[in-house]
Amino acid sequence: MFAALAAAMLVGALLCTVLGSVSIAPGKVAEILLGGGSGAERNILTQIRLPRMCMTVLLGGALAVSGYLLQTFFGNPIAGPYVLGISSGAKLAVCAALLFVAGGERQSSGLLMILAAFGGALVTTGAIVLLSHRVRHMASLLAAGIMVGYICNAVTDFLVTFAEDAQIVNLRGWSQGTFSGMDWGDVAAAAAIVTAAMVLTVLCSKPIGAFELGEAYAASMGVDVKRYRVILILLSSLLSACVTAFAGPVSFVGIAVPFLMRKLLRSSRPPVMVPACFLSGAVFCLYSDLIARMAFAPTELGISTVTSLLGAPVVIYMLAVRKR
Amino acid sequence: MEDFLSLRRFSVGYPDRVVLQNIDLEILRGEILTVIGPNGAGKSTLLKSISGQLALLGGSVVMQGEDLGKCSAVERARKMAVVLTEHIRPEYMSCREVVSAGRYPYTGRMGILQPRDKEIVEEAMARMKVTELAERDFNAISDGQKQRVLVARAIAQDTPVLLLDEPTSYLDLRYRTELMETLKGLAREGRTVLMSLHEIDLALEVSDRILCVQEGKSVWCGSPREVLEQDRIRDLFGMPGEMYEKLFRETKSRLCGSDAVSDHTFFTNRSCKYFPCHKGADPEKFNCLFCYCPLYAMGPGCGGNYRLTRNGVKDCTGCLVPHRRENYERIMEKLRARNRAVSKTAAATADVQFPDTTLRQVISDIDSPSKEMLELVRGDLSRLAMPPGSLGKIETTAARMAAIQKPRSVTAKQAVNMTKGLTGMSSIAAQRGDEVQVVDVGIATPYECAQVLDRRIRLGTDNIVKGPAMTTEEAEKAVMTGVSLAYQAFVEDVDIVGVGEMGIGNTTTSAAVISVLTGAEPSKVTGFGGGITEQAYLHKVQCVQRAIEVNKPNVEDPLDVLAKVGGFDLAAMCGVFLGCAKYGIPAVIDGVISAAAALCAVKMCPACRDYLFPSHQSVEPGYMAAMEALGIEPWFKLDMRLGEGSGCTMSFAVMEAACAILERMATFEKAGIDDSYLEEIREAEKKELE
Repeated sequence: MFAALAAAMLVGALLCTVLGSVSIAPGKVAEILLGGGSGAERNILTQIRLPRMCMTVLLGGALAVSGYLLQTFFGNPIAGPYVLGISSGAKLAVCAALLFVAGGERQSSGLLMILAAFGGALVTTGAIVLLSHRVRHMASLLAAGIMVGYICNAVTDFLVTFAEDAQIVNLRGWSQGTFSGMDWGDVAAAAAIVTAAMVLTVLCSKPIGAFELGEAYAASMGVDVKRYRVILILLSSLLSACVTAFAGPVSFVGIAVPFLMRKLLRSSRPPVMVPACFLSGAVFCLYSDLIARMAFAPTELGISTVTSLLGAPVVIYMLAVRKR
Repeated sequence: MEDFLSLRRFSVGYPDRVVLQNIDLEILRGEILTVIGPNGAGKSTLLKSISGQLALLGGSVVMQGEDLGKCSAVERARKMAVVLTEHIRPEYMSCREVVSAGRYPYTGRMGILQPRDKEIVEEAMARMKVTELAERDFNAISDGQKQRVLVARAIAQDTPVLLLDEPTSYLDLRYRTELMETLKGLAREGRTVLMSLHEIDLALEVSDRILCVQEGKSVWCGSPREVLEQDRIRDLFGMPGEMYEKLFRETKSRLCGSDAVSDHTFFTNRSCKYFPCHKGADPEKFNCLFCYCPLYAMGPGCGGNYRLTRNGVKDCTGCLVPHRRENYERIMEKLRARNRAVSKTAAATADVQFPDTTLRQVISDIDSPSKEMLELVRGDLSRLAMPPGSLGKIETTAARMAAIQKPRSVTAKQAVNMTKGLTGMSSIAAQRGDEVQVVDVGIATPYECAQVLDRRIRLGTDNIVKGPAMTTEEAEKAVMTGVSLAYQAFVEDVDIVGVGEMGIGNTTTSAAVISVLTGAEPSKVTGFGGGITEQAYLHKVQCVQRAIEVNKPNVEDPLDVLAKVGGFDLAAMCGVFLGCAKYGIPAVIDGVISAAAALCAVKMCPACRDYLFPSHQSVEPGYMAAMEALGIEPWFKLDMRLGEGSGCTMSFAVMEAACAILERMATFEKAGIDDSYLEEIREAEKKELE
């Protein structure tokens, strides 16, 4: 299973580097990587395609793992950063930051966006967690998450309505979600965050597994529930905030991928699921990105457009087959 | 037995509502403490507070001197495992994984199970009988199975305290009782079980102590006996007195009634202050397995001070062989020696001049009543002033009675009551003027009663679950004892013999005998006997199965069946039936034990069947199985299960009536009735008979 995923990832990565408005033959790719090749092709590959491909892998994986963590924490397979309104919260924060802090500068700093998205994601997650203690039913929690999302979107729209086009031009592109325009600096930053979060996640896989039986049982088995509740939320927020900050809100990867993995592996144990989710999230995003770029070339689709089209049917199927 | 877990000024509830407060409670190691109370009384709140799931409003839980509130989560998890009421839906977790989760507090950073952990998990699963579910998806199994898996998980957590919030929910009768057995087993291993139950009867049965809780009131804790004595349940649930009486009178009289004195036997003395099994007793003073000194039967030689306590418990202090568990083997050895001595003397003091004969001889002597006589009586009956067949079974009985004996008026004089019958039976018999003869063929408990004919083979049989009840020689001796009793009845001109018994645990042996002879499943022929609980019932079925498996009785040889899985009473009663057939006395079958004995007799000698008459239909399931095998239909259905031959007296009335019609009823000639119109019916009946 893991071998298949790794192979799919390699093929996807190769396709992502080879295909594009200028196709570069695989042989050429190897040549460029080894230091040769002509200027234009070399630039396309090293400055555009390779960073984008790496980013897609990192962020796709992060999204799926973030979704998995949220699902475990809420004990609900439909929980995910997008569904719970976390992405919308991040978007609101990014929007506010662009308008009020960056003061409409076109060259808004990546760091600001990341911080804003992270803060927004965290605040929204906090709100959801508070709600989850108030409401007993997970169904109503999901509804609450969706409502929180609506509120954030409404506020965002409100801000956008009164903003000047120039101020929010970045937001437009950002809120559609895209892996384009990544440079190696972004990749390094994302890699640092994702790696750190992933290491922590793997270290916490034992208590995360205990959460499968619900919080009450987890507590009775010796999990410091309060502590891990915070850690889990921080981790998933960190991961999804990272994605949101760099690529904008990317929908459905967080739900569809862990679901598919559970179904395929027939397991929900963290030691299996965390790497599986990461790999398959990367694969899912690689191919989605490929489709986004290639399907209507030269027009590029938003990544969410593709992931929604691919992921939403999975969620619908999931709702339909769930036994209650 | 030390104080183990204590609640100190313990108050529970929610931030806006105090549910229970200032509870002080010492819980012992190996104790089963059950929390009962009406819905919403705070049972779950209390348990959740003890487990730390809910924050305490005040006070502390102290375990072995350590305040649990100050323990780390893992330390606490090594002390206490829980089964909660809430549903869990883990995604794609097999039952084994769920049970393995119980090992959480013991595994390392990555939660990898060591071989020892795996062993414990397998043991826990085996204990809760979920091993075959191990690979199944937890969400795909039934609620009852889930509950068992969750209990297994708690067991796998291997903690000295188990906390179970309504562990019996979703469990069916069988698993509920099995769970209780498991919990008892855990308690015996020294684990403390704290649980809440809705089933009060179950709580009374398994608990060492019961904690009654009611929101806003102070809690009360006491033994099941005290709960009943003080009518706590009535007050706790606010039951109307009548309803309470109806539901709990029986339990109450069983657990604390004064008549409990009459059954202080090996198995059922629930009134013993150390019941069950003397748990909690000071081992230095009195820790014998049963409620009286087993050496008492050896006469005054036990050397102890023997006195009957208020509970009907024979307390033996300062006994020659101190009644400690370690001494059990020695005590039993002495008892066996005593038994051997008794069986020798019993043989020597046989007081009836019973002709020297063998069982084989008796069986070959038995003849069916003559067919001519049967026909003759039928002819007589058809001349009676009534439409043929209108008296139903009384008529057929009359015919059969007449065929066995010369037609004459009959008064049943004697019911042979095989062991001990001084209660229900005697009052019914006295009312009718029937004689009761009580014969002891093997009461293990000592008693003093001049009316009881002592024909003890020895003091109690061996445990049929472990091996044969008795030797074949002993079985034959018991059967011949029965034959000799029938002979005695014959000599004393007894007209009808009813065969009943009284004994403890003999519905079990009967079920085993019936199961073997009819080939029916043990569970199909085992019943609730004189009033046992559901879990005792299950144990009983298992005992029957084990007994048959262990002994492998020969179906073709009823004597072998009696020897291996029967009892002295069964064997002797079988002998009475055979003897009655030999000496031409109609014999009435009473309940299930009697039916089992009759079945043995008929299997030994089919002609014996013609001398058998039914009485009431026992509610014991084995009864109908035996009667069907005998081909005899019971006459009444009175929902009786007392035994003691109590049903027989009813049949005596029918049989007397049957004989009376032959004698007294006016014939058609005498009444001067033209009966030609009945000719057709007679023709038809005749054809039917042919």
